[in-house]
Amino acid sequence: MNNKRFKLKVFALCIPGLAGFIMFFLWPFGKSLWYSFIDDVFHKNFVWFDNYRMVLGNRYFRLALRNTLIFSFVGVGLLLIVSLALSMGLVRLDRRYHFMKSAFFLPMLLPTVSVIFAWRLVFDNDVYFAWMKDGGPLLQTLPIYVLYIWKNSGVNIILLTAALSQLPGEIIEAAELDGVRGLKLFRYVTMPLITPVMFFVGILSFVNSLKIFKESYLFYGTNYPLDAAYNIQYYMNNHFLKFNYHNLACASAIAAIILAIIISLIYKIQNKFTEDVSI
Amino acid sequence: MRRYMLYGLLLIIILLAGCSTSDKKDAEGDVKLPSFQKITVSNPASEVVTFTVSPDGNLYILEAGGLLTVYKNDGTLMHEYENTSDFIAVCWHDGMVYAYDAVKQQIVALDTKDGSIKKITDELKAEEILKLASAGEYIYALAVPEVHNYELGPNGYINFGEILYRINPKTGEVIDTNETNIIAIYAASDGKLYYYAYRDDAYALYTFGTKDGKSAKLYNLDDIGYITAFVYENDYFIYSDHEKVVMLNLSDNTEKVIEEPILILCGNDMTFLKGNIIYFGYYTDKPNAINSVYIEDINRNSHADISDIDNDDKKNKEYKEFIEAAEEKGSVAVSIPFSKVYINSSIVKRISGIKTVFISQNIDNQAVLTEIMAGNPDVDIYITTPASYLAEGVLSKGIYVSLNNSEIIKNYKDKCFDYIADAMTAPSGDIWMLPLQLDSYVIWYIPENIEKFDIDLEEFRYLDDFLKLSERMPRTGNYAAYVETPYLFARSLEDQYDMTYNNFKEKKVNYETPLFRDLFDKMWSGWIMYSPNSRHPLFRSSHDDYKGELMEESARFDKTRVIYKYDSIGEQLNMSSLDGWRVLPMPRLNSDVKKNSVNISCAFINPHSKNKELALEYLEAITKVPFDYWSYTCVLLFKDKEMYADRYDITQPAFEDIYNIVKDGMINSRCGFYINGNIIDDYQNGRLTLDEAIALIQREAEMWLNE
Repeated sequence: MNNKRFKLKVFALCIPGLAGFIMFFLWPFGKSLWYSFIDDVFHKNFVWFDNYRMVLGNRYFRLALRNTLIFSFVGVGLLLIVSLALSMGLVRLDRRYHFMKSAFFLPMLLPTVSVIFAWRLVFDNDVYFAWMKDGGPLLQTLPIYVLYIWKNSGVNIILLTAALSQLPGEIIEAAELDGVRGLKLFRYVTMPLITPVMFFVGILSFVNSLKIFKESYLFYGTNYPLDAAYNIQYYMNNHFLKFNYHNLACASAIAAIILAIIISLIYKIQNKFTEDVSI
Repeated sequence: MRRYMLYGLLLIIILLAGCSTSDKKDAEGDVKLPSFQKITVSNPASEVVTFTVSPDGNLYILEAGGLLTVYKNDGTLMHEYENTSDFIAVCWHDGMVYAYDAVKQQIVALDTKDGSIKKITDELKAEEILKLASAGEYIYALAVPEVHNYELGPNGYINFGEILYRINPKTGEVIDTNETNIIAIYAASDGKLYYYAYRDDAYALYTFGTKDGKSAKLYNLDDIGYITAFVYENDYFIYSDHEKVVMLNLSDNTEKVIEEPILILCGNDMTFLKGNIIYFGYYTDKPNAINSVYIEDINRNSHADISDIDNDDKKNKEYKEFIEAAEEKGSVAVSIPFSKVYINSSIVKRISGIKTVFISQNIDNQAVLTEIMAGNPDVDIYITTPASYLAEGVLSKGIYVSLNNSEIIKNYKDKCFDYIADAMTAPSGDIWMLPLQLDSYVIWYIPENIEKFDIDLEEFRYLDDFLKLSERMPRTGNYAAYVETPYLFARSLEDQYDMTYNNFKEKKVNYETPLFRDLFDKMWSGWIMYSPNSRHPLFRSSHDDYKGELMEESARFDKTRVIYKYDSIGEQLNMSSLDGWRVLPMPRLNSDVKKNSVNISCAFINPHSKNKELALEYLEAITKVPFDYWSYTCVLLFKDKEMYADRYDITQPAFEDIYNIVKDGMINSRCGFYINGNIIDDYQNGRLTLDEAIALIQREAEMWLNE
């Protein structure tokens, strides 16, 4: 009886949060899913998977999806490397300099428009414009990569430095006594111990990589940027502007499915890795 | 002896007191209208711009494109004064007519005896003078430095940045009184200056000390709101908002409507003389009916009216029938992307009983489309253009109300040109909108001047010839050949290309052709920005002071000075006459382009409206008065030329020219795609070559169509 009452109490306390979750996530998501199966919001004729076929067959959607995945993987990879390297350095600093960690967090607090304004002062010049025109995808999207890493490294650094500073000292000492130092120490001792945090940071970075649209849109200043910069959010935004809700809903559903697959893969790998480490 | 002198003095005092009392009584009772006769402004017959009245009742009238002309109060034309065509504001002071010369931007004085003009002040740097008023020994000018530089404030306040100048007519000294937020001024018969201003979030009447230069608030008039002109005499505040003239008794707060519906534009157009309100305005619901009027402009039906209605006059009988207002039925909310001043809602109310409630429309079409798709029930009718993104969205989503059930609208559609009737028809076959007006940009020319400059009319046919022609036109002197709004000219040429070679509906778009490449190069590589003849210095641009030379807007309609111009049909029809002009279609890219592009505005019913039946009745009412619903535009929608007879001078050759152009017009339908301005900017500043710019335009068009 007490257990039941306790469960009821817990449920009651969860109601506000649940209500918000349903109202602001589940219901819109459900409606969006429904849009993906109808022709338009006025006639509301059910068209099964026709919209999905149309979207998947559209070369611009495929281009956008490809660019999004490339940016996510490359960007997250670079971000993790940069964040880890900086964290490794910051951890070794004297206590007096720990305030520097906060300095890395500041970019996240700055208003996006101000940041882009400064970014354009740096990149919006004839020299870079010429590089961008003739250069490959990397040069064309370089400002966005740099911006992404600069803006998001702060959070990662805080999480990674926390993880690094909490490493059990005796394991490190034992390893050093056994003659393991430098890269080997990092690879065989440090990395496995901070893997859970690394995976969490990776997922966080991945999610943040999908939010880069705002900066990209402001930087390129057009609904149709260069091919390499055209990502899934541009596709969705352009359809939103044209009120093609069915295409928009399809695109978001497909993107959500792909991302769900990726994230679940990451979790699977993380679990496997964590098991191996514990063993 | 001393006693008789005392009695005599007392008698004089009593008589004097009696006179002033009777003046007050005149003002206290109904506004007395003297028996002035109708005066027809006939030399030249064009629009009255402003006027002033001398103490003996003579009218000094300034006409658009004409001269300052004086009429006796019985309508006798007395004299025309030379060299007055640049005046835009006038007032009577100390036996002279003081005026603002808009070209020289100075106050000048005209001696009415010999017509000589004397400069009074140096340059005032004001684009517009809303009112010149004589108070005491000074003249006051309510000046607007830049007409287009205004801000919208709360409670309907429009801040034009007005400056109140005090001018000493003897010395020419000009002092800025530093009084701000002034909307209108008036110099009363008591010799004082009054002004109406918006300060501290409220409208109020103030007095300005002509001796000490200090202001004092007299009455809080926040209930009245924004006005255009007023008169303040003997505690009567007579004002004009843009719908009526109202007399407010400030001592007991009673109100009487003197005239409605009438639009009086500014303080230059309303004054007071010996118990009479004399005003000049636009009657918004009397298209052809004319009362007995004080000044009548037979072309424009704009007049100053201080007389009684003469019931015996035939036209007044028509007016009386016309004003039999329909029973009130309710109101319809109309969303408009411009000022409501341009819509004659009273005429619709009169014939249908339906009142119009105006709702300001967001200029962003996407925001409006979002509003409609979100199911906004607050708007009953939207006004837009079929070529807009909004219209495209409405049609493609089917978010309109079919007008098929209305026989009146079907008949109206049958009267329209075929391409307009097609535009009224949605892909489903429904009639989805009612067209309201049509305008186009064409070439206006004066045949005598064309001959004088040895121009062959064939040079206007194609773009290349036209550009060569413009190169050899004079840049200085008294003659001008120019393109009004060169940017629009370029965009119109792009329209020609799109409508001839591209098909957005079938997703067939190709900008990578030598023709488009050549056009883009011609337009954006310099013709727009740098062409010496894209704007002649004789003509004032509303946005710039071209090459530092002063220009005059009035010369735009001056037949003696224009050789040719690219300008809108509506502007010419509304601001001037067709007499002496001829018209040609705008230059074409090549012989493949067969038609002139036109712009039409239309109204459609919101499918989420709760008043759909009333909205339909409203649209049907508009079809009964198609030429009167919308001011300052032209309505060239109909096949039958006779339908225009009451409104335009269809006997003029220019009208025939216009008719033949719009008869074969085409409405652009790009489905919302526009060439990105960033590409044009990057091309103009050298970041992109011509080929790269064209390639980017093509890429964007393809992505827009196919993503």
